[in-house]
Amino acid sequence: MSNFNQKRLDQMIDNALSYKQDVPEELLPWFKQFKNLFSKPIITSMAAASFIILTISYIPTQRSIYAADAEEIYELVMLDIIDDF
Amino acid sequence: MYEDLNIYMQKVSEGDKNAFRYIANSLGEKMHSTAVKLMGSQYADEADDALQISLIKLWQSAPLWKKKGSLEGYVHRIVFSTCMDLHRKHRNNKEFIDNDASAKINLQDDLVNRERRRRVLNAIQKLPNPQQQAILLHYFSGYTQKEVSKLLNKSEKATESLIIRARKKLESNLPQNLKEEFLYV
Repeated sequence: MSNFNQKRLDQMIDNALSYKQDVPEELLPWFKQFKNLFSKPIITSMAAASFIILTISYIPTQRSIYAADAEEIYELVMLDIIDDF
Repeated sequence: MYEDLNIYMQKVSEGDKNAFRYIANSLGEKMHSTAVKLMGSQYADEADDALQISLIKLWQSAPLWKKKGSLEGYVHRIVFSTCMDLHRKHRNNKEFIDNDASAKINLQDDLVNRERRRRVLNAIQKLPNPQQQAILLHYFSGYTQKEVSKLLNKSEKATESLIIRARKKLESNLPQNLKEEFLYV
């Protein structure tokens, strides 16, 4: 390599050294690890899919609870009516 | 020398700047010549850019480096991916062609050259990792087969067959004119 190029290479090396090195994942604080985990598209899409599945399965359960409540109230009202007679 | 560099890289991964200088000075020339071959000799400035970006990547990613393969292979893969990025960047910029007629012709020629080179690099990128490394080290970085076999920690016979298989794959993926230009030199 010519002197000029060596000089240029030295400049490039100095420039590269002015940057910060990446920190390995295991040395990051927990919140950064958590953030990095959710920055991965596969994790985000899996979380979104789980959320949708949970929501879909939760609504029918809630409906059945409401339905059970309504049924109980109906029975109580009916019993009251029967008692009145 | 090869083992030597791995030891230095271990130090670089711990933030040793002098060890990085040693590695960059040892491999800088090869990295530059690889970048010139990948970018094309008419784009010397861009080969310089590729070298600069590669050195930054090498320094920044050093703590994540795992001592699994040869450092040379790792370094040349960084140069290769940097050159690919630069080619892609130029491809995306092609809509900004100047309206001036002569400039337009020059830019069109430039784009054709770049497109041809990009196709070769794409074909190399599709090769399995060991074949990709062998082709890059042998054809683009100028290492002999014997040196490549040492770098990849394989026997000479295995390296030879690796290069032959890679060439065959490239031959089937590239059009005739590109084969002649890049594989039969």
